[in-house]
Amino acid sequence: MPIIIEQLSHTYLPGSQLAYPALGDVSLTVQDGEFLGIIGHTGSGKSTLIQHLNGLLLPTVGSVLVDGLDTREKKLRKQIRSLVGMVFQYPEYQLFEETVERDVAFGPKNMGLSEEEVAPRVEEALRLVGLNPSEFSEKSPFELSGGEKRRAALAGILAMRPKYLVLDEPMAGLDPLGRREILALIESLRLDYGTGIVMVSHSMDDVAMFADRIAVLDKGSLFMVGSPEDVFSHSAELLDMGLNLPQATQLVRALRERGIEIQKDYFRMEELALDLIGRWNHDR
Amino acid sequence: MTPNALIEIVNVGFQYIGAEKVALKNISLSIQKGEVVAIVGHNGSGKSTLCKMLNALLLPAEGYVTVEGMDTCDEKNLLEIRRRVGMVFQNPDNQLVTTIVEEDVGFGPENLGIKPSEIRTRVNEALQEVEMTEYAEKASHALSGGQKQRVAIAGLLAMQPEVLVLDEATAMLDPRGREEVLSTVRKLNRERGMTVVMITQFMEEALGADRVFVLSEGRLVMEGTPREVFNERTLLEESRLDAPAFVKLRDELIAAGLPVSHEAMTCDTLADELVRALQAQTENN
Repeated sequence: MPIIIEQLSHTYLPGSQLAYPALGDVSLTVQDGEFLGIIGHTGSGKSTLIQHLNGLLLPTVGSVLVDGLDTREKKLRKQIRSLVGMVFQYPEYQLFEETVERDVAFGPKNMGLSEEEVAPRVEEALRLVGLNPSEFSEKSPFELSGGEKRRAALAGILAMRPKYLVLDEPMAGLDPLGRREILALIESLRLDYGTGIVMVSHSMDDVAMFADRIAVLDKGSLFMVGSPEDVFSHSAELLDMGLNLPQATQLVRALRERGIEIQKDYFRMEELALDLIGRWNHDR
Repeated sequence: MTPNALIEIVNVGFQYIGAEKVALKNISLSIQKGEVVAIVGHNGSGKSTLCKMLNALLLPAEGYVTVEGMDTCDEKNLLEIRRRVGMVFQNPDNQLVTTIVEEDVGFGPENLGIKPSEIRTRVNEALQEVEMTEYAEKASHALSGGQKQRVAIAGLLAMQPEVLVLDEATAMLDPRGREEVLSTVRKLNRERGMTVVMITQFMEEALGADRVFVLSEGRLVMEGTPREVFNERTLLEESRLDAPAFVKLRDELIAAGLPVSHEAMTCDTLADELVRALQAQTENN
């Protein structure tokens, strides 16, 4: 079953002078096992939206149903939070335990699992994120490097075996290889475990490369949701919103401005490269 | 000492207390007046440690660092070095100290004991340089990330520094905020000859530098123009880095026989060369 967001509006501090409408009338479904990218300029409502997915924020109007469970029902919230894992920006700032093992075990313990159930989950989660349990379990999370801390924090969420994983800028601040490792991990969670992924990112290239569908938020409204191809064919509108374009799309625009006709709105470098090489060989 | 060197780093080594590995090993490099230098490297490569050596936030355990000839280890130079080397850090929310924008910009010169009328002039000029004049009396917490970083830069400009050091100052910003900060810094370099040291995880940002230094595991493994450095694809990958996307595309096109030069590293330069190549070919047919 999916996550169904129906006519969701959210106003911060409603009824006060400081009332601020952050989201208006957003309807969107996160399908089982899909990779949904969320893009939008700062202040477009991305963070407000994702915090509704596990009931951290509740709708002012409308509803959010996670596998049929309404987030407004207080008694369902624990169940919802074990279904929807939430990884915030710079999650390593939330590490707090004395050892990596205890930090990763915190989530599943909180779900009420026994020691015997928790231990294999911790080990599995550490392996998934590429931290060898025998090497890292007993270390203090604060001894780890930046990239390792990020992965330890992620393991803490994965140990709860969420059905959906919501990530806010999971690659921010990582080096190029670290970025690729996190993306590969997310992709393998989806392929091997069928985890549904919701990822907020400023990197249009990453979203273009991995997302099945992309939701575009603008000033608290859903501008559109569609395949990367659909979304990045609206490049003028995206630029107007203050968003970037994937680098392949940027080059397509630059070539068109210079009088080269390119029919397709490419958003992946490999495909654009094939097109350009094809042209060169064809003309010879 | 190299003529014109603003900052000299000589055989610098450093290890954090209790750490297993050395943070920096035998680093030597010099930064010239008026140049833009990028320092890139994987997480934990020692970039930020090196950066903190530039204004004596950290002192080398081995070797030495000088700023305009002043040794950072000599305590009596501290104030002069800190005034000359302005630092912008990663988190926009950690750097503004007062509630109103112009007060924040005036904080530095006030601490230097400069007289109020002169502070006024400096604050106004600095805000103008970063294009934040209209926000002078606004609350600093309400600004966007990019605006906060520009105010932080203005606060440094008001101290009339010789060099701006940006320690991943764009890492937490959205694309628009990043561009605001980068264009501000480029303008300061172009128009005022400001020396700029940029530490970054975005390889595209390093393309705009005069020279790029690559750190890996605390060692300086490469140094050169962006063109030289980003052509060393294997060495980059061994250092957990990557070439910018347009450089990788360019190399693929060259390998397939397209007459594109190694100068093309950005969207616009690559587009220019591709147009030239494709049009010349059509005319030949």
